Amino acid sequence: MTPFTAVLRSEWTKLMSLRSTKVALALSVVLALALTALLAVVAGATYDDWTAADRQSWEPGEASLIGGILAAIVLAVLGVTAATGEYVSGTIRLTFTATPRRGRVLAAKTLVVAAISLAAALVSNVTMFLLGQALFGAYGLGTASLLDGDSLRTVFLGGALGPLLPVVALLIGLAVRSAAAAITAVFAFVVGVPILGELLPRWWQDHVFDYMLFAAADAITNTDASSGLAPAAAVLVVAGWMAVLLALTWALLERRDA
Amino acid sequence: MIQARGLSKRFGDVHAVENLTFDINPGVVTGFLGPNGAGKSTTLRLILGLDRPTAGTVTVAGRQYRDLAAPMREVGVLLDARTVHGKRSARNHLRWLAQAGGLPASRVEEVLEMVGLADVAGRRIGGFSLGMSQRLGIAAALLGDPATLLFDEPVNGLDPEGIRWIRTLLRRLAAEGRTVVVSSHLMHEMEATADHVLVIARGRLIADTSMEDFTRRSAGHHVHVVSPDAAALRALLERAGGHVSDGADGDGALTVIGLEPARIGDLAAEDGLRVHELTPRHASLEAAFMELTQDNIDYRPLELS
Repeated sequence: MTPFTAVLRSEWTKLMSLRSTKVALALSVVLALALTALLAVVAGATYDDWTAADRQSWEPGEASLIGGILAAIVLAVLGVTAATGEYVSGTIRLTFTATPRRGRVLAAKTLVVAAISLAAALVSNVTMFLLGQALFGAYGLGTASLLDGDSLRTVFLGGALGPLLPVVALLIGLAVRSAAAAITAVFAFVVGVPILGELLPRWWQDHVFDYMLFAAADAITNTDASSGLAPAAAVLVVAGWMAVLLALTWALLERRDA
Repeated sequence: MIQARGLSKRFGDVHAVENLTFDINPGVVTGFLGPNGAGKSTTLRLILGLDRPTAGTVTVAGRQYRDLAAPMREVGVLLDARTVHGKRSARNHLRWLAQAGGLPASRVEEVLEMVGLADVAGRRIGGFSLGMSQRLGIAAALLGDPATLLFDEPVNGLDPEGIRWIRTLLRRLAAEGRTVVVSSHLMHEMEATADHVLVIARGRLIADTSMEDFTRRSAGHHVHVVSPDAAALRALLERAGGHVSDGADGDGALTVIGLEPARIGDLAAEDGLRVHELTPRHASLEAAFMELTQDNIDYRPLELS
């Protein structure tokens, strides 16, 4: 049988031979830095008006990573289009003809999207952190060192979780096959679920919402996150979610006519 | 060698293909004919495992497609030539395919050369003409140097020179001992290319025969004869060298091949046999094909040659 590395290389070529992929990767970092810079300028300019409580709760490490929201959105769209581009162009039929075991295509696509979004998330996290601290310092705000335990966790562990959303976006894209529907679904999942969670009674928050994918992912990095899960438990919950989503997508790909 | 046994595919209430049983042999070009919507593409998709059959099986070299160890080395496919991402270059399109098939990168340059696209390999596919896209699709099919080739409507969009080129290519591939299947809704294309034909209409196989036989049977002159003495007339005409079969119109109708109407009339008169109708019919290949498939509700007019 054709080795799995062949499928992996093929998916890598497929994604990286599109200019839109490179543009998206660059854009994710640029937008992240821009939002972080904006926050630093606003924080610096208004610092004199801050209350003592505001100054007390200032967390320069976490604040500098604010731009990660934009990076995540761009990478999520990249994940969606890595799937839906194949259906729009019709290349999915060639893909499944070349690799009829569709689980291998799914695994290869997942790994490739995870790898490039991991790289992009780490680059944007480190550069955001450094840019943020430099600007905060220039405005006389408190700064953090990258080598702090807390900083290391938020920058690198947070970066390591960067592939989560793009991979979920990829799986949803493969499942629904239309970019518009997939992007809507991804943001309903990511934005809608937390909003719903806030509105739910306490019991639901503790027993259901904490176990939602992105609430659990938050609990891995964020020591004072709203989720009550311990980091180790949160890792298991996230792994469980990903296993279920992968299995569902696989079943769908195998059963459906391409 | 491709073998289908009782192959059926239903989409909801629509029977796209129904109970197809056929063998496609190596060494010849097999034309897969039928009007648009007859089920040709569905059959190809079933062969490739892209669609799951509702019933029946189809194998390539004795195995179901998804069980082939190295599918691209065994089967080359030209589906719709537009199954490409327009933003990729031709070379990159072939590169990811070659990688997926575990094929060496050198094959990409070889097939680009083979189909005459080497000079434009770095250009985006989106800017290609339909003819260039067809050549790229054929290059993709040839990547793995496979023993079986499936081409869905390969001459679409090609200019006369391109059509001649692909015809020569198909014949050469078959002469090398490969199994070559070419689907088309254009009868006259097949006439010059295929050795064997499978004709499909409304999802059913209505002919599986050599091109020579198909042409003789359906395209040659034949004479429609109606006689109350049909049995005697039939024996007489067969003795005179005619090929006689029962006509489509029921009792007393005969279809005669190989004898001119005047000769049939004279023979009947000599033996005192009554003839009520004696009509020469000159069906062209396309007309015969239309006749065969005229019940097809999805039928669209064939292009005039």
